[in-house]
Amino acid sequence: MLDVLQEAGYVPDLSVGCSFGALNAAAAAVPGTGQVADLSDMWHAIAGDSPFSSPTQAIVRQLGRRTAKSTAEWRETIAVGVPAAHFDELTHPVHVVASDLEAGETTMLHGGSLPAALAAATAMPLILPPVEHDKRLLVDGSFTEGMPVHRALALGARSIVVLDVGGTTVPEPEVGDLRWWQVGATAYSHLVRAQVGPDVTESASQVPIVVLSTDAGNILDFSDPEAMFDAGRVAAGAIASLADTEEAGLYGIPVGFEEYPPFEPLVRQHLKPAAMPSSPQGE
Amino acid sequence: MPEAPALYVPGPRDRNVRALGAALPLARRLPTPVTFVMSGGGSHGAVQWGSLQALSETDIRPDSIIGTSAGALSGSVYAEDPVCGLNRLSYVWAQMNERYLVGDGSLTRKLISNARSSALFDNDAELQTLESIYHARSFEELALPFAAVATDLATGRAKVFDSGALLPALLATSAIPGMLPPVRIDERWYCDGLASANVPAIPALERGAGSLIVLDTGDRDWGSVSSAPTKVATRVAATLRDHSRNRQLKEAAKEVPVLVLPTPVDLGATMDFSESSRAGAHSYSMARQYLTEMALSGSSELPPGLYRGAKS
Repeated sequence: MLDVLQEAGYVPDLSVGCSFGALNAAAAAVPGTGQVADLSDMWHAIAGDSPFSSPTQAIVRQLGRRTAKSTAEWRETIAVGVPAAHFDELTHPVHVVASDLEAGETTMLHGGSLPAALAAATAMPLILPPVEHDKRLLVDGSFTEGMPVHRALALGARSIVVLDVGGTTVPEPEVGDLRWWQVGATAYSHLVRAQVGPDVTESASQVPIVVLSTDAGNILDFSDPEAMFDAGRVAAGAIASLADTEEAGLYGIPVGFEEYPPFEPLVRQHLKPAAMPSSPQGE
Repeated sequence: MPEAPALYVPGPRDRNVRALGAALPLARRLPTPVTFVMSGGGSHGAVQWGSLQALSETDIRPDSIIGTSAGALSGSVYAEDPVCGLNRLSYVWAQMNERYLVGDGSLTRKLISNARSSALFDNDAELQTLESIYHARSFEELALPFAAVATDLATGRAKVFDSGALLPALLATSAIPGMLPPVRIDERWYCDGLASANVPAIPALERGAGSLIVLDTGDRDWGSVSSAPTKVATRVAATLRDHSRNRQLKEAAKEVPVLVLPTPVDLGATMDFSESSRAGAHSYSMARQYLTEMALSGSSELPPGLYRGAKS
């Protein structure tokens, strides 16, 4: 998605990143990465050898309280994708969304150690331990934030482009075959995704919000980054059809919210995704 | 609730309340139709037993009931027969424990034998329990309009069941993800409504409610957090449910008066039924006080908004 946007001339003044979006936002703002960000090294590292490439093993390690290996592996992966130590090394301001475990509220991270902030933002319960930060335990930001558009608004954004990777929709034939822990993960990822509707509704009356949305399938399936990149390029290609206007409202709709009633008065335009790449891809 | 075991007898202490000597007059303040919204919460559902008792001492009579998970089970007992349902519910809660829901067998053994199943436990025990509680087998046999909220497992959308077979819908709304198996109804798979609308205020509104009485299931005092993985996971799950509840209540309160009965915050784990009686008594007492204050604070119809009792 980011490469398509950059090629089309969309360069952010500010990024807000939640969960894995924080990794991407930071990686794209590392100096010297050239005109077009290339995040493929990072995503191949995640798919190749990280706690997320074998979540079951990571969960077993967690339950056995042997977290050091997962933590070390994950810090190495982050260092591959985001070779920067501090927020102020980045080419533009990046704000990272994490969840404060005790308060059950969002925490915005913007200064200090960048790897620590990214580790906190992506600390998915059961797979990675919470990250201690200023005497607070932080976990993945998506548990308190659906789509952090109002955070961008509060930071002064006048227009917002959302790079949305969708929620977890399970293909119909596979629903009956889910195992118990997959049923649990699916149910709670539905709750995570449900936050998007109200969060976006609140902000879309104030600024134009462009939503480039793709349903990337199972959020815990990191096995095929290339297919993901293609899906992202198709979704981001919709930016080409964007109307030339500054009117507040919704331009494009997050996947899964096509029939969400509160969006109806806010939708200004339905974006057209780019054509699929010629080589046939799966989901 | 106090640590030391002392006989806990709830009841009105307030002079004004005793002076009334009759049902608390509150119905005149509520635009009709009045809907009871009953949220899920496993054993914390015992809280609603006390809330319903306090409500029965007012002149409020629900025009319909909507519930999720444990709230759907309690709500449908009441909806089946509003006259004797409350007493029947007392006997259900007085006997309830996890064996009536998930049967016998240790979790460790289930982890091994059911590792590849859609749930760690089957719902045979729960079905048997439901069959012994209800005479009704369909929604149409209930005395009050009643709806149960489940989650479409494929899409994550809330699904409201309000007609046809009752027991499959009740199994679906209470199919705790991972613990009890998803239920197949009309070619689709459903799990516990907690994954879409654990406090189904917006579904109640969409069904035309004029005011909502929300019977929540209480909270857990989390104290300080730890980094133990299962503690983190349950804390995160509770955070998600809280955020979902707050959004449901906030949205509904824009349209109609939403009365949220106060609930205890000192409840234990959601599958520990040993304190059900105490939790019910405590919430009865809190709800009674809240309803008294609402009845005495005026007689005019309430405008839309959130009317929340203080937590204790």
